[in-house]
Amino acid sequence: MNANATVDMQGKIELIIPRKPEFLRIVRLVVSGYASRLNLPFDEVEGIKVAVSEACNNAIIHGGESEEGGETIAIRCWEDPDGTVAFQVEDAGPGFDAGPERRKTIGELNPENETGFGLMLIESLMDSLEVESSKGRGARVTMKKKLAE
Amino acid sequence: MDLTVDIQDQEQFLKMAIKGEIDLYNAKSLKEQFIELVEERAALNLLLDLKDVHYIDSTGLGILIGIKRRITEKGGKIALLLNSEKITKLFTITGLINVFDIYNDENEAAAIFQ
Repeated sequence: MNANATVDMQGKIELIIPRKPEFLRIVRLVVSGYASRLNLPFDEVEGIKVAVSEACNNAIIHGGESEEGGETIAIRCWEDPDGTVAFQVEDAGPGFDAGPERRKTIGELNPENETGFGLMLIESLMDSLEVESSKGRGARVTMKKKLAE
Repeated sequence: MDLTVDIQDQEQFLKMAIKGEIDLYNAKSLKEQFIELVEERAALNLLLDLKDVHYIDSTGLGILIGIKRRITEKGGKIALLLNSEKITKLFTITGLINVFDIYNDENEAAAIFQ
């Protein structure tokens, strides 16, 4: 199975990759290329790359934990009318309860732990984060970064 | 190959220089290399050179925490060499800047093993 990318007339990109870690570099290349085109500062482009890759990590690790787990992940990038650039990672896995009680904040995480940094990095590096998920319906993570006016 | 590891024995410490990108794809093999190094020694002093690491994700950061714990449990020490702002920023966000001894000068880092 290969990665597949499409671009629509509005410049929205959709990249479909197999749910395998060897495709993460391709995601980072596409995302950093898209963000660079918008003249974002270098450190923000790097931050976006980290955030989207972390969301993909989550989809790879948890997006197939049941028989109905999806074999692919969709990554979408677009300029939003609200003055942001949006990046979305969607899997077709078992989904999870995305309620606030599940999400840890930076203050709740112990740096001596080996896990739990992914969401922390996304929240720190992006201006907004939305997680849509429910049991059996996969997960869709949308991250946005403000563009200069 | 997107990750190379060079290991040099410097008498008082082992210098491990990593080049490339550390992510979910290669983290498992890197973790196995770390564990092997720790297991084969009574106490390991490790100077981990990350100056040529261009990308590290949460999986990689987690491995560094795990290896620090294994090393210190056996009475060893670990120091990190970093000089990239973008990588240092990730250590700052996660609070790991306060967990590791981090240097940008190799001689200063090596001094903790004296």
